[in-house]
Amino acid sequence: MRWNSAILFIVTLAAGLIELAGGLKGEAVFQLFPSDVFGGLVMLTISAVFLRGLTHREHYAFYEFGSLILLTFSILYILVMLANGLDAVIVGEEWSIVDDLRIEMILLPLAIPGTSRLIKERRELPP
Amino acid sequence: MDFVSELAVARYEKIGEIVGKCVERVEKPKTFSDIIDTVVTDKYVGIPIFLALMWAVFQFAYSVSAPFSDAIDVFFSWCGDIASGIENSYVASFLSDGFFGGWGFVLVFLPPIAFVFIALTILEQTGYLPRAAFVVDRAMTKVGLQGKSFIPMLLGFGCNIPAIMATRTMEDDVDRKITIMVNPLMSCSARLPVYVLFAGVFFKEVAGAVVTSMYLLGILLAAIMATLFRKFIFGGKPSPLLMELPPYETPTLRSVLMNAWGKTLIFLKKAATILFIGAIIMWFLTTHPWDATNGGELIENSYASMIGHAVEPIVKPFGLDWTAGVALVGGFMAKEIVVGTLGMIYGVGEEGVADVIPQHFTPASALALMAITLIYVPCLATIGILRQELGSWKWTAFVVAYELVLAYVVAGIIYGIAVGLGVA
Amino acid sequence: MIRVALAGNPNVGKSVIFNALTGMRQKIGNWPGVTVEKKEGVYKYRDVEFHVVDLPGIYGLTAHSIDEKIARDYILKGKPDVVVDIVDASNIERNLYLTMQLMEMEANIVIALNKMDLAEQKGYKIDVRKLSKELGIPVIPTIAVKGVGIEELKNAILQASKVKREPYVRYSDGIERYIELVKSKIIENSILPNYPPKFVAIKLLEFDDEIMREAGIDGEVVEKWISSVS
Repeated sequence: MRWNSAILFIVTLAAGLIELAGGLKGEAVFQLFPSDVFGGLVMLTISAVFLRGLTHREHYAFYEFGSLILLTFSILYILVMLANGLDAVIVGEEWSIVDDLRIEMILLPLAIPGTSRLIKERRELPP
Repeated sequence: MDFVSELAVARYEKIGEIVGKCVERVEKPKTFSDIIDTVVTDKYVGIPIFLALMWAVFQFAYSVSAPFSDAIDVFFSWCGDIASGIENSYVASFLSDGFFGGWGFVLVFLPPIAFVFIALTILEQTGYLPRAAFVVDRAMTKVGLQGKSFIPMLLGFGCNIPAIMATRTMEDDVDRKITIMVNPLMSCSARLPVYVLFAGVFFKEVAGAVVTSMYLLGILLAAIMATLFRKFIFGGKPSPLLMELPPYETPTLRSVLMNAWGKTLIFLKKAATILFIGAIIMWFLTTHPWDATNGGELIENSYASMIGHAVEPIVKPFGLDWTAGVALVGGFMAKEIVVGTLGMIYGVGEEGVADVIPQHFTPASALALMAITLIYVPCLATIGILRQELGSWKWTAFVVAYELVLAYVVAGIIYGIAVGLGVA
Repeated sequence: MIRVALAGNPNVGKSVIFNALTGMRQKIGNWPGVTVEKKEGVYKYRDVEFHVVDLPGIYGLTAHSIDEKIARDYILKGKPDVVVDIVDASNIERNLYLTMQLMEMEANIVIALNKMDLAEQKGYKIDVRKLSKELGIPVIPTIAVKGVGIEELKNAILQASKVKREPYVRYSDGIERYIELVKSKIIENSILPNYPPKFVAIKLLEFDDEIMREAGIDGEVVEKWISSVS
């Protein structure tokens, strides 16, 4: 599981830095990495959670909760994308799904193992 | 000898003796809540996690709800368009701009309110909210607020109406009142177009910094006012957060939706009527006297414009003229309108405003106008919600009054400094 | 008719037990002269009628708080046949503090050891039989929210109402000396003969305003009584 944490740490760190750099520069550095200061800080926070887990006695707790936050944001951005699409239809604007696709959605599968472990613990452990 | 404590000790000794004989303690098994708490109350990542989750709430409440608000807006505009085809131009104007415009204006607030409460209910039912309040309590207490004030203040950056309704999670009446009263100082998204327009025209290279400083000014003023209200009006201290942390639970879809729907219904039942009446009044002021405005075409001849002229002497010291006065009167209806009203008055439409404002404003007076827009009065809708949540017209009037005075003082100071520094 | 009072700390599941005992047959009013809610109800068990009063949730029995005073006065003056002390098994130490004070009052106690499931989850293993023996009080384990142990509790209340037991708690020798001394003075001067003498002795040592006033004794008298010990 430390391996999982390490991989997730590196991936989220990179994504966060690219988004943050784009946000500060005012334009996206790469496709899929929007120019978004706060979004970048969120990714850096998630990476910090995984990093903290690497050295912590209860590393699995950080791995699981970090995965949960990542999953939350993946789903949130998907909802935002759907909302933007719907909005474009309602207002009658042009909209392309490419503009709203972002790296967090693609990372969603990586968040599933940790989150499902958390759900399993929710069932097995006392509250 | 103090027998009260001697006896207490004796009783506990006896209890210890009995419990020692009859109760065996197995190593406490780890609970699910322990696992989560290890992470969310961690000294390094606890606060960043809190801020990240708040950002998620903010996004959810405003971005995801947007199409629903737009759908409502489009629907009522469509109704309005149909109504404007009516032969009798007076009835057409009343129906399209007053009646349907008014309902559209009221109901666009429903989606963000519902989404805020969906997000907050999820956080509350999982058990995270009381922990979140702990994380920020110390900082908030310093400015006379409380841990639970944080979320309403944050939501204020989106729209003050759901933000003020979100104070319903606070138990203490005084804490809640203060949080409500300073909430309009959190710069809602409707004020942003004004900053963007004026900062863009007058402070090209540093426009971003100017806009950001408006937000910071709002936060600073909210902190100052909260401290003053606590000290001079309510007294006492922010109520301590003493709560037993409940175990984490999985919220159920049903209870989340029920709760959010209940809160949204409160808005619909109570505030909506006040807002609608207000919208009708604003329609009246911008289109009457009917003949002089040529049936609402010439806003510069309307009562709203007369009020704008009447306030001109008040804003004159900041280098502002009657056009700014009219725009600010329009902004009372909804701050989104300020830029549009200027466009109407200058007869250039919303897109052309940027080209003509240098004729009416200086950089210093632009700063003053931005500050006034930030502070002066809560918009009509916010006043309605203030009345509902504060439960009295007296307190609502107080909020409006203090904001007017504060806007005047702060705009004066900013204009003075700007002129002094030679910005003008 | 057997008169039963329910006592216990706040949040121990007292009203759940009250509802489980009385079902629908209850009446809500106020304690005389105050706005504190008073719940009463009745139930039948083996053809015996029981009248239950739900006392306010309390941590102790001082005269400082209205709730504690109501509970204390009801037990002292109302003299219920049985006092059911509801103890939260998951928080047993803090809860037994009230039990100690009920024992000082020589009430006829039955303990409902509630929230047994939670205690188990928290890793406590409670030897109920031994606890009952140590305290000299019947102890019935219950999980009120699931209705576990309610029949046993009803039975224990019935049994307790037949034999009036007066539990006796003995503290450390150091403090018992004072208690015994004051107790003997109380008996000698027949002070408040309607109240249990040990209870009066303890309350006088604690300089309890109410009891001092009722007994017509001030602090100096008590100081004088105990001066011979030290």
